[in-house]
Amino acid sequence: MRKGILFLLIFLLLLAGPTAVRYLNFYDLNPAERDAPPPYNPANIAPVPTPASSDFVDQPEVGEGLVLLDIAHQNNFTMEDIAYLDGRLAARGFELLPYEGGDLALALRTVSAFVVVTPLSAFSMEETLAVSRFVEQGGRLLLVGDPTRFNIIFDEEDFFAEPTLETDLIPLNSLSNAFDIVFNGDYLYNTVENEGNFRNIILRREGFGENELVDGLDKLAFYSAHSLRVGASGDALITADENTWSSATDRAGDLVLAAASQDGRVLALGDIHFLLQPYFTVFDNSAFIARIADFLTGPQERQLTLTDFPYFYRQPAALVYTGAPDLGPDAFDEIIALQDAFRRVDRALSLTAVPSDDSDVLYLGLYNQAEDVVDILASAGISLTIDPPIEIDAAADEEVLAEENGEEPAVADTAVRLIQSNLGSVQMSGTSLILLDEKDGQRRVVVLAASGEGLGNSVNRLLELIPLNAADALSDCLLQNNLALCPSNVSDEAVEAELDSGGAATAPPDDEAPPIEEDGGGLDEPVESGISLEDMVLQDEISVGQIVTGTLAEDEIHYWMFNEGPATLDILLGGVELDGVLEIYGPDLELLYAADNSITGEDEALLAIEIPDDAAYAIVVRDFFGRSAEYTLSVLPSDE
Amino acid sequence: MAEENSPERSPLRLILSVIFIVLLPLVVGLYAAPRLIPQPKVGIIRLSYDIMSQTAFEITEQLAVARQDPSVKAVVLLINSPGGSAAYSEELYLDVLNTRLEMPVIATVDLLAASGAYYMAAAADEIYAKPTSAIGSIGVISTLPGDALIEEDLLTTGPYKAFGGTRDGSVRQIERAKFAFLEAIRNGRGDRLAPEASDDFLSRAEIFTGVQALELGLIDGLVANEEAIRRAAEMAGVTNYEVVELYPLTFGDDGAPAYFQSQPPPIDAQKLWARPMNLPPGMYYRYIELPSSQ
Repeated sequence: MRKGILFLLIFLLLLAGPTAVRYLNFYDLNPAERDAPPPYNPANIAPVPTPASSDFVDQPEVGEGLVLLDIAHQNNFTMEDIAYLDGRLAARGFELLPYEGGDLALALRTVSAFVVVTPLSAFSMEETLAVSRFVEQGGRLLLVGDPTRFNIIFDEEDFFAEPTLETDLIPLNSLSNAFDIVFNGDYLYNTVENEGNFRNIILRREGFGENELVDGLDKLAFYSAHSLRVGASGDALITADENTWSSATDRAGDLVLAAASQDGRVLALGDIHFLLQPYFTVFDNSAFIARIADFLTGPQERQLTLTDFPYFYRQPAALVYTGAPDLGPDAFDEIIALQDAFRRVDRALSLTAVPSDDSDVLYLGLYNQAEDVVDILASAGISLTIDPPIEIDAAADEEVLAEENGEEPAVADTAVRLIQSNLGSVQMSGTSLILLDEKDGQRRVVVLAASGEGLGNSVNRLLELIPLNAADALSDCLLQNNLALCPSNVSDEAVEAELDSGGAATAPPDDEAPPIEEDGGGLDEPVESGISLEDMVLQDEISVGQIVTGTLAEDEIHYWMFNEGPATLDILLGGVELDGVLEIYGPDLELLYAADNSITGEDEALLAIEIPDDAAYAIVVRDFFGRSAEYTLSVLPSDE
Repeated sequence: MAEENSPERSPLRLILSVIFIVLLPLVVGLYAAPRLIPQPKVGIIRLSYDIMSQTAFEITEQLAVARQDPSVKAVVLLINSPGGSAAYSEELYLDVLNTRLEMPVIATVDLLAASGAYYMAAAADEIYAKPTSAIGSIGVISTLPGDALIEEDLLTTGPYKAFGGTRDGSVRQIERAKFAFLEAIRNGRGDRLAPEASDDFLSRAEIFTGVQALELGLIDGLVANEEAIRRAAEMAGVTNYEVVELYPLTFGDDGAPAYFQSQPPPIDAQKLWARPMNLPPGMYYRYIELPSSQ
């Protein structure tokens, strides 16, 4: 029995032995303990909350003006991006005027503020200087950068070339450096507390500077922003908290997202996204944008200069002749020329005897009739001395007497006719005065001369200020601040007692008017009314029902003679490349009618105009920009 | 008859006794032992390149085989990946957690375990790497839907039918996915994470070297793959084991496509770090290097 058990044990041992040996060979009898994997339940992750939007209601003060918007430097934004800001500006009566290139200094003449958003191409030295001067003169400058608004340029000719990165840093800094503000080449992030993403920075009141732009605001959010480096003459407007980091330095703390110059005229922002929908609804962003609109449209600190004429005029401006003289054809020519020039820059000028208190004014007159503007002159430190006084009636008598004797009117050797200002004392004779003054929001320009002819020449100077040659127009003048003393370009100019603008009493009768002859004879002399046929090219005579074509060379003006009055006509001018100007001058070269809708390719039309007399009339055709262009001129009987 | 009843055993009987008592059980034992106690295996699963549908399918299949094969006592995940699809990364994470219920899973990194690849690794019992392996990029990357517009000739039954949602809503969904990612890391690593490896810090999504990752507690050691395998075996309690690639075991059946028969080729570093082309919309746990510029 025992033997049997022994055999059975041996049997089992040998049967299980290999398995046991194998197990012992493969496995550790004391294996290491392992922790069970922890349960994982991602559904417990809380949703990221949507921020509260403010109940801000914009209640702006309505004004009027223009804000220049740069789109000439590959600006990486769309109008939709700034639609809300544009709306806030519109609510304040201001319009965004795009700057597409050209003379920036000139473009800045018309506006109260300049807005530059994410430019990718550099500003030229001239542009940078123009912006600095604009701000020096009180203009507002808004600079908006954004780290997401870059452009990667691939070399199409070299497939393997490294792409080039265009960012807004250099263009923005070329403008902001002058104001001790520098845009950094970074983006800011906050992984501790943010608005839905690490690059969406929450900004709290504790980080706001003492500035009316952020005064009273509680919380803002910027969505991917550059930091700004602010120098001694700049003010940090919005600073992020200590958990906000800069990607460039990987350091936290004291990171500025918005800054202003100390004079408050320059505002630099490191983010564009807070202007966009839906981000402008977050926290107090919409209120902040309204403040930015206030900044751009706020009370004008801008120091106006004469070279801004007539862009600084608000609508409508009043034209006033000092001393209330009787106005004649020469004055009408001046008035028409000025009104035409104002109209071309989208402004209105209306003749009035007494301007209202709230309208801007252009005063024209003689030194001897300057009583209306004495206060304005005095406020600019200017006094006029005419001693002995020139009595209007006496002067007229003297002139009549002198003419009868074939002599020049006598002027006493001891007579004093001086303009006294901080430029010194200047003789009135041969000198015209142009002064820009602003008081209580009313902008006034005073133009005085010794004679009617001198005044006409001064008006021509003003007209030359309007187009691009503003610097040239006053280049021969003594110019200081807003006072210009210019040569009147009248030789031996007498200080006239009263403005004689060829009034009815002195105008020659119609039958003495110089005829306009077909060959232009007798019309080559410059005419004081402002038009001269001297530089125009006579084409031909044109009749009723005739349609003619012509080709204007560069800077060329054509005129066609019409001698079939009286008639009622429709005169049409057209041309594909033509921004046409159509003018009708009467026998005395007075401007009777003019048409200029200022859009290239559109027809100019003078409809149902009356040609009163059987006399010579000039139909003048030119391109507004002086470009070469073909045109078609039609003189048709009017149906009306 | 006397001889037949002799106590002396006949040689035949002796032979039979030896056969039945010794040889038979020994032969049977020797025959049965390998079948009863097969040599334990440590299975190697390679995650190479992007985590997309194909890689996710292959790896989950291999993990299933590991769980079903009683000889596979541990799994080593050998990782060279920049991550990929968020959903497939999560699938792998959850599948590794499942496998851990049955056997130890060790992750070891050669060149790169970024984003979704590290997400998967975080589910393992332990993670090992080389001193200069690239590890991290913890976070989500996604494009945002376009602005919600309506068209005259395209009719939908909901405002976001053609867009999926608002841009702002997507921002918050992505942020929530990031928090889920961080939670998965914290869940997997537990108190092995260093105090400085806070959520705020990790969500910077930096890529760390193996040394840095070790300091932060993102990994457990800097060892060679062989050592990681040995550690897997040790955790599984096996001392004499076979290392097998699970890929051919999984896909080596008849009828499987030929390209399934071989192991993945050696890692192409250029391909590993390459920026993906034409990623379809969606969330990604993936490291994507932006194009360099001058």
